[in-house]
Amino acid sequence: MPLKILEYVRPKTLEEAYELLQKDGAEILGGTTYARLSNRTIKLAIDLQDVGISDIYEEDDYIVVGAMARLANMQFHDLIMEYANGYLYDAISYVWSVQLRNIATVGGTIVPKWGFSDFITAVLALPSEVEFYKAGRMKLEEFLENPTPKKDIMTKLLIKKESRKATFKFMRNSVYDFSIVNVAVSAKDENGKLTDWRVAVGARPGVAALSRKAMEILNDGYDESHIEEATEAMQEELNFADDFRWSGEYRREVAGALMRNAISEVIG
Amino acid sequence: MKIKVKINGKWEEWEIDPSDYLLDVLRREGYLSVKKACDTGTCGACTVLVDGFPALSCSILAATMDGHEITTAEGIADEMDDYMKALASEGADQCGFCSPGLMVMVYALRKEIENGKVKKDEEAVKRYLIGNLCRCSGYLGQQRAIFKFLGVK
Ligand SMILES: Cc1cc2nc3c(=O)[nH]c(=O)nc-3n(C[C@H](O)[C@H](O)[C@H](O)COP(=O)(O)OP(=O)(O)OC[C@H]3O[C@@H](n4cnc5c(N)ncnc54)[C@H](O)[C@@H]3O)c2cc1C
Ligand code: FES
Ligand code: FES
Repeated sequence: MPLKILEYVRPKTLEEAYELLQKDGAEILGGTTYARLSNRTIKLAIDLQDVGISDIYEEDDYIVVGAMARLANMQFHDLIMEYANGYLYDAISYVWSVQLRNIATVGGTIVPKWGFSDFITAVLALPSEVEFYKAGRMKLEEFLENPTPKKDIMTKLLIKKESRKATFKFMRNSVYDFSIVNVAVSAKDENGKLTDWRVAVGARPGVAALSRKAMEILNDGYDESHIEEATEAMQEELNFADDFRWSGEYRREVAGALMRNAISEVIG
Repeated sequence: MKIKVKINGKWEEWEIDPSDYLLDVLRREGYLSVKKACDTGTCGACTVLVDGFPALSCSILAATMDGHEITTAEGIADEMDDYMKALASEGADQCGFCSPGLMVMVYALRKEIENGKVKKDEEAVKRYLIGNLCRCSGYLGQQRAIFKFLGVK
């Protein structure tokens, strides 16, 4: 049985969409690319394309990406292409295919917190926040570490605009496949001094998480011994598990190698 | 429910079920260039242009297309005559099932190259077309035809 939708609506405002979502069996539609792979019935499917959350723009110190922006819109946006030397442009280019990125939305990619996500890992390595209609604004890591706000609508992704150096790495069986583990590292570039390091590891196979211990060590210094210590701290702090593809043990080793490479690239 | 779409330049009204995916509706309405293969978003055989951008019709809920513009391989066949000749002369088609989806992608790629969004080099072209699988050809004939058509050295 494929996905069954009993009723489809396209509200004009977020307020209207939120009210409709409170009904029994109502669900939000993003690009519908992943939703389609499930066998369930949605009583009321709410399409957000007309509620005005598809734009990408600058506000205060942030790049704001509407939750209904398509991954490809984000990838090719000038603000994103210019940010951190095209870091996100490049990371997003590894999300499956052009044809999928033209449909999949930023909200539909973040809200389900899929472990395999490359996108979440790449964004988590940047100081970023998400905004929900009712639950308001929170750091991306807080969103990932806590239960998802129920019957709520993600409206925005916000990425702090600052001078950053960042790299995204992954291991796959072939380039057109899901990542078996992925790592993203970034640091603030303060006139050549690298501060506020962020290390995100995803597809462990759990959803991407920050290694706060590794970040603390790198904030202390990023010479060879600090890099080694930070890598070991990440391997100890984060949970790596088996799935049908790889063992947790192998993932942990590969994540360490990817992290070392990523840090070296960030240092330049 | 009813939806209105501009298909290959002409507005049409279609009766659909809210659960229908665009691929099934297109085939039902006679746009048979759009192929159903994996039906999971992987192979690219169902690629069409939505508002000018290539997208997987198997993964788009048809209801969401109300008011949008869709272009299938039928709608660009004349413009892509040289491409089809290049495919034929390189012996690139076997069963041909993947060809319409690939043609739509090559059409979109040519525009992206013209707009400066994608580089005209081997690596960038291959990466753009990564989502189009072909079970017969081994890709090299298609690659020669595409490079010839786009002028990739
Ligand atoms: C074949 C395939 C291959 C893929 N490969 C990769 C890959 O290599 N790397 C990678 O990172 N990702 C990959 N993905 C995931 C992809 O990037 C998207 O995350 C995914 O397809 C969902 O996007 P969507 O907009 O279509 O969401 P949908 O399928 O429409 O929605 C997903 C869920 O999010 C909810 N939702 C959507 N928008 C909102 C909102 N604004 N507020 C609240 N809830 C919301 C929906 O209710 C639904 O439960 C792949 C997906 C597919 C189908
Ligand atoms: S049928 Fe749509 S991607 Fe294969
Ligand atoms: S020629 Fe048969 S799938 Fe490509």
